[in-house]
Amino acid sequence: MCELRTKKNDPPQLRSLNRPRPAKVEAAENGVPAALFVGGRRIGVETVLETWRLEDEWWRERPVARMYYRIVLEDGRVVDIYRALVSGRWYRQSY
Amino acid sequence: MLIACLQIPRFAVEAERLRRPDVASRLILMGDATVLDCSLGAEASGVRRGMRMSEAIGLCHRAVVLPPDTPYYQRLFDDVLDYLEMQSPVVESAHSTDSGQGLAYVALNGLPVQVEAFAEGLISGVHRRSGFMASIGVASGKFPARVAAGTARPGTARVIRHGGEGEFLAPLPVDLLPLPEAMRWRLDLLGITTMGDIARLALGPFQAQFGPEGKRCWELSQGIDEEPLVPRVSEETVVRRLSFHGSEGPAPAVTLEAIMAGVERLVQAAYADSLRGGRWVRKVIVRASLDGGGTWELPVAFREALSDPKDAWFAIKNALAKRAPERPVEELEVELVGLSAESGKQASMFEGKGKLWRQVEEAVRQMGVQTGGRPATGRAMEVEPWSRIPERRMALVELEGDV
Repeated sequence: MCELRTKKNDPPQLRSLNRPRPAKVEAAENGVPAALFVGGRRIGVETVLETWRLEDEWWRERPVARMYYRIVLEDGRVVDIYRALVSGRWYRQSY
Repeated sequence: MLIACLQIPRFAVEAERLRRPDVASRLILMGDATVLDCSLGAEASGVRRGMRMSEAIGLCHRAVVLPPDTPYYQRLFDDVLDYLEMQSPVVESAHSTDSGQGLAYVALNGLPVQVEAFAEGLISGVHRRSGFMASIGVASGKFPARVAAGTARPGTARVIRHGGEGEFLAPLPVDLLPLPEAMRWRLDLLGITTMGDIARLALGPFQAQFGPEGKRCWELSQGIDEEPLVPRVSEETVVRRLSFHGSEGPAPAVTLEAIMAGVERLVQAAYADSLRGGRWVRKVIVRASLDGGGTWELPVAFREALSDPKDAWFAIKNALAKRAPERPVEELEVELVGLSAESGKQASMFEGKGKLWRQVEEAVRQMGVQTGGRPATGRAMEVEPWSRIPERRMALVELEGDV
């Protein structure tokens, strides 16, 4: 049988899936991504297919404010990345 | 019967001070429209329980106003009772939010203890375990023990020797007696102000004037209280919890749908718990820890005991839709209470996808054998599939494989 943990232990957690993963991104002067590092290897961005801004939960201590980019890498892969507008950090996350 | 009464004045205020050090040194008013409880400083400013909150704020405008969090206070006091039950087999809880006091009676008869040392041990034990500073009164009845506890300073014990109850109570005001308002008014008119004034009167005429309540008050004024202790009934329950986590730590569930998804999963898990042992359930209590502090509670009593989680969820869902948490939820808890041996309807032995699930279990077991440990497993479920934030759409509920 599979069962959730009892109260005596730590409570089980409802962990969100598709969490953003930190990414190393080289950006151009205008802030648009120019290259993405995958496994330590620099791969240039061939084109930016789409950009969109996401702002939500402004009432919370850490509001969600992101600028998403759907990019095509030089090796042909299509990847979604975003820059957290509060911290300035880059993350990779399929939208 | 020798009884110790443990009293923690302004229990709710003290509980909030333990939880929130930032308000520990401030004047505190608790309540919504009216004052349910207040700190000693606020009381010194003229605030009284039951007073309108606007009036109370006018009396101490620098006070912090806190909404009452009754389930939290009850949990803390249950912890105090658990400790007391480790010291004596008979413990009665007299805690109520109306009185604002944390109050419990402990039977001392038959315990091979020295009373003063035992009482002081209880005070320090409660303080060590829960942080509350209690006072204790010991006497041969509940009423004198309670009055003794009320007159003892916090952190001290007052022991009334057997036979000395009447003498101890004599100078104290009649307001300490459990009097109806009309009787209090009549006693005042008659110039009877202390318990000694009542004790000096003959029982017959006093009872003729005030009836059975008069007899009870006369006896209490003499220090006679034969009311027995009613031990706390510890009920067997099944509890399951889950917390909402995002990419950067806790991510409270904002929408009702997300909360409902969590509660539904917990109801299913609680019903599947081996502690339930196939018994039927008469009541479910749903609790939530809210974002920014505070708790929310929704008790759902069923018309008849239910053995099927789907039936239970149907009732809970309706109740939840009518009275949802008013703030985002950080943690959920579901408790099954009123477990009964009633049977008749038999729940299905296997779920619809029983075969598939057994295959998953087997795969988990084999992974455990290969890796030499228990792999972390979970079940993916939709939480807020429409959310603009990708990580809010699906979630993984952790499972523990019994393999």
